[in-house]
Amino acid sequence: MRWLNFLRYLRLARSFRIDSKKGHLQFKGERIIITPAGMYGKVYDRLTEVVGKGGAAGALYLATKESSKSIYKLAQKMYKEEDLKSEANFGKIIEDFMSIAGYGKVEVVKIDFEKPEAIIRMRGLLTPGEINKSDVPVCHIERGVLTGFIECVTQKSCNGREVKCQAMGDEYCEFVITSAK
Amino acid sequence: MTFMNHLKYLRLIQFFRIRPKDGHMLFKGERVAMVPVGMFSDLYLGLTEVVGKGGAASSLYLSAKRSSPALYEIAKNLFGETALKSNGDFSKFIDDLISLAGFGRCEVVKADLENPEIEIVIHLWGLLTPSRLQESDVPVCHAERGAMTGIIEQILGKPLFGKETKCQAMGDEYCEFVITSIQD
Repeated sequence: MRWLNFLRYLRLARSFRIDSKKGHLQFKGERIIITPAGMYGKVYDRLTEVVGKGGAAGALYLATKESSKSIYKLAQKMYKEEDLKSEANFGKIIEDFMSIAGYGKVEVVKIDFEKPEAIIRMRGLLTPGEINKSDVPVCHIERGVLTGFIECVTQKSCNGREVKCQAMGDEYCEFVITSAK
Repeated sequence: MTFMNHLKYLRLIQFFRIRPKDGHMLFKGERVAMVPVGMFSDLYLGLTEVVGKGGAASSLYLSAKRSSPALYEIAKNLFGETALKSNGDFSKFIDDLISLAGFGRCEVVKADLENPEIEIVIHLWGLLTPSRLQESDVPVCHAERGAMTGIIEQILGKPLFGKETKCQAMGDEYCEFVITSIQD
């Protein structure tokens, strides 16, 4: 099983291309960039200095939620549309997709596209990796990405909350995504 | 030349690894993450709404600049510290790094590294932030400015300041960055 997993990631890693003429990096034909993992925590830190924790949370969450359309477009190139829209396959797909993007390990605890409602746990995320200890959750970029992704799948407006965070000493980061209505 | 370029990038792309065990993506052993290109302009627009253009500029510039030690680690792994510090192939290193990260096409127009007053001028085409912004009256590539200033600061070991003097989002042919020594 582990060997099959390895082969699958090897195949995906081959989907990277550099357009040397333009200096563009592509994954499955979509333009992407590669950032050092540490940048996520630094963006949060700096924003917190300028606009406070609440302002940083709002700005990062909303901006990345909007960007999820590009992330979903990438997912559409990797998986069949019917698989993306299937609750049964969603856990495997999001786990696969987030690992490929380098975000960390994902576990879908609950998913209901109809309501919509989701509980997703993640380990080894990017933002807490740079922040030693926090009294509030810090993964606003990751929360925005997940919430926006589920909005794209369900075509329904959603809100995402982080109820546990590794930067607060929790075992994992837990995101609860519910209908915005 | 294009063929050689292609070969060079083909070699560089082999350094990406995805580690299924913990879902981390690595480049030459350093943890990195994949970001869709639109996220930079969305981040700029989102921040502009919350803190205005000035606040967004400073936040993105400084946070990207502060991430440069991680970028420098990648560059060191890629080119070797001695080669990086030699200044001989400075333009080539910058070009490789910028392209490899997917930032766009780069040309180092001026690199005055020997004088105490350092001045570096870099032109870039097809950057991330302007690609989704239709028209702006001010330069918008603050994350790119911060990342470049920071990595060059790490290479040269001197405090530097970066300005964007032309920007494709303002209708210019290319984005121009002028990186200079910080005056006491």
